[in-house]
Amino acid sequence: MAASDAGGHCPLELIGLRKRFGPVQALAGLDLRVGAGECYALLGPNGAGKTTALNILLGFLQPDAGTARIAAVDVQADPDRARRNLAYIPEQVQLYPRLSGLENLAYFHGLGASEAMADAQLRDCLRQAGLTDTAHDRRVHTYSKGMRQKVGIAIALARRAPVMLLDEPTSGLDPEAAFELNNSLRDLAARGVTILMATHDLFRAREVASRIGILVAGRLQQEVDPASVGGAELESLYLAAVRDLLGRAS
Amino acid sequence: MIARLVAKELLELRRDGRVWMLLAILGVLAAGAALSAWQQVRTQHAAWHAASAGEQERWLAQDEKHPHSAAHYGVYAFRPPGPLAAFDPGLDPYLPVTVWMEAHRQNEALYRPAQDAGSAVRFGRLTPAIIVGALLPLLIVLVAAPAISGERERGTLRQLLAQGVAPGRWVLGKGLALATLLAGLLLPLWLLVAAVLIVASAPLDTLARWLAAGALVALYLGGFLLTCLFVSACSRSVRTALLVLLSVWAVSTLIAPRAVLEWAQWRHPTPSSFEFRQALQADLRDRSELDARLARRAAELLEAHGVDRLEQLPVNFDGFRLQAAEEHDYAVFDAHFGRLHDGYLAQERLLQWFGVLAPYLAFSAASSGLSGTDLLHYRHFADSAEQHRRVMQEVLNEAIYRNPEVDGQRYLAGPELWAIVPKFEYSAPSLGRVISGHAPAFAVLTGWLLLPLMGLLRVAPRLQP
Repeated sequence: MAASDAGGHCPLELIGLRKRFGPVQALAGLDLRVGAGECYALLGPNGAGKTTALNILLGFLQPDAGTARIAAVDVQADPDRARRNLAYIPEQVQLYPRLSGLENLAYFHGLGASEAMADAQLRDCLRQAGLTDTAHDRRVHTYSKGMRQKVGIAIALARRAPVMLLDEPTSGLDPEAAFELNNSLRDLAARGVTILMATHDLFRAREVASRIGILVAGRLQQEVDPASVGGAELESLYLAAVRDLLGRAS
Repeated sequence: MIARLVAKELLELRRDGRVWMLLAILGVLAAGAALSAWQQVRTQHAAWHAASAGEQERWLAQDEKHPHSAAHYGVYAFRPPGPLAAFDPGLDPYLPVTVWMEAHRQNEALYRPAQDAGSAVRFGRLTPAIIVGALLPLLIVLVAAPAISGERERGTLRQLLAQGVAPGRWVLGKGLALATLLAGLLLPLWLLVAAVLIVASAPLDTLARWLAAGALVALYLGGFLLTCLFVSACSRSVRTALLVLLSVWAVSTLIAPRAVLEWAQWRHPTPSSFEFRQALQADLRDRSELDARLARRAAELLEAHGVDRLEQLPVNFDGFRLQAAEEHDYAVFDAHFGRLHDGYLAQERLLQWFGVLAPYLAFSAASSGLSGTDLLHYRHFADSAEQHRRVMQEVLNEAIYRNPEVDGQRYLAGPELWAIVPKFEYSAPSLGRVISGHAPAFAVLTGWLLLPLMGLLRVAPRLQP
């Protein structure tokens, strides 16, 4: 059960969300509430509706029906205010190649945050995201995909937002960086940050999430408590949910 | 936020080697064009000073002669280069620089500086105005087309919007950064020229024209920048934005000027030099009204002085006859030259209005107007020369009228009469008159600034990744 505020709102709420793209029903009445300090992993095959849900939460897509709220702010009614309460890490972090990692972080943070951060604080965020000191001042066009991903994570960490959205966050990360990211996410959740993570990575999801939802064909098929299932069991549940629905559909 | 955005954009541009390469090419072209224009105008100014001064000396130093012989001896009026001809030579090289002012005829102006250009004329000239009007917009297209579409294509726009960045302010910051880059390029050059004009004690009118030229460039390039940002904001990819903007640039600077000029000449045809002369001579030949006027005046004078023959009058009737013939011809000259110049000006006005489709047309019309190198200035010079010719004829004919033949001897005038004839001194029309003459161009350029601005104000707050 997700923790809610005094008004009965969870920091992240999706209520009866529906979205259709032509003949494709991307979301078919998605209901999801993620409470403060919770890390929710949304698992699902390609086309399940994970990215559509994230795009609606980011205010980039209008749902056909339903409501999305971030920190009790209706995203469709006031997307700018809703976005001020969230941090976002995309699957492919895109940066300015002619700027260094530190300059990118300072720029993204400076534009989005109400308060500026000192250089030292920004460097701390980069370290926390797993980027070594020697890379901070190097131009981003020399970075690997994993290093760029770490800068993206640092940008999200520097936001200090109450809600964090992650789209395949460990994609392209080496195992050590993925491990560090999981530690960071656990740490953030412990500090009360609400995390919604769309991923294919069952094992990482199980390590970090407090709840796991299996999304298939735009609908939440099953919710799992990762503490109560092993890795293999989670994989079986996931495959069963996907095959069951796809089998019925065919 | 905006200061940070501007700083980041400028930092990225500074680190972009392609921008430096473009600036270097543009710098070399600009320096070459400025030096060549400066040299050309200096030569023209020196020639004009020498010719004008020599011409007045020649007039004053002529021998004693009958005033009508002096009227045929004539004086040349020299057209000075436009006040800002170094910036935009406009039509200067193709318009005549001298008019021979003599009795009986309003001569067409003679000698075009382009005659001296030889084969070089076929390649046209690269001038500072062409660099500002045609090449700088190309630089703006290349730098501004990816400004928003590039961020959308790369995915950085998505991340920025997800950060809660207000898209309207972000677009404003983008625009300010590009405007800062342009201002950084142009403002020092503009100030340098202004300083040179002040140090050289240029007339206030020239300084005012330079100020107005600065405002014109800001209006034109500002419109181009906003158009680029608007197209970039509406494009899904850099390629689309570049394709649209390069098409706009090519139509505006390469295709439309030639096509619209052809159309303007078809819409407002002007006669060839031969046709013009033929029609003028035909009208000048009709002297029935003049003869009647002369007969009436002769009868009045004979009656008033109680004599039978014109030779017995205490005045020289030839002076009246010559002046009456001049005045009879004025109406014919005014009608024919007026129609010819009105035709040219109608073509010019059409070109200015077609700036709606191709802003370069409006820019070049206004720029050559402010530089004093357009048809409006040429007509002003030709009219001034004709007015001077008429004053000159009046003074000389009046002298003939006041001095009848004595014992069959014609009156011979000397330096005292030549000195009475005023020196031809020409000054270009005022800035106010230039601006009102180019109102369509300024209106069109203001529209080119406001239209993409309104588009951006509508699109920017709703910017999608």
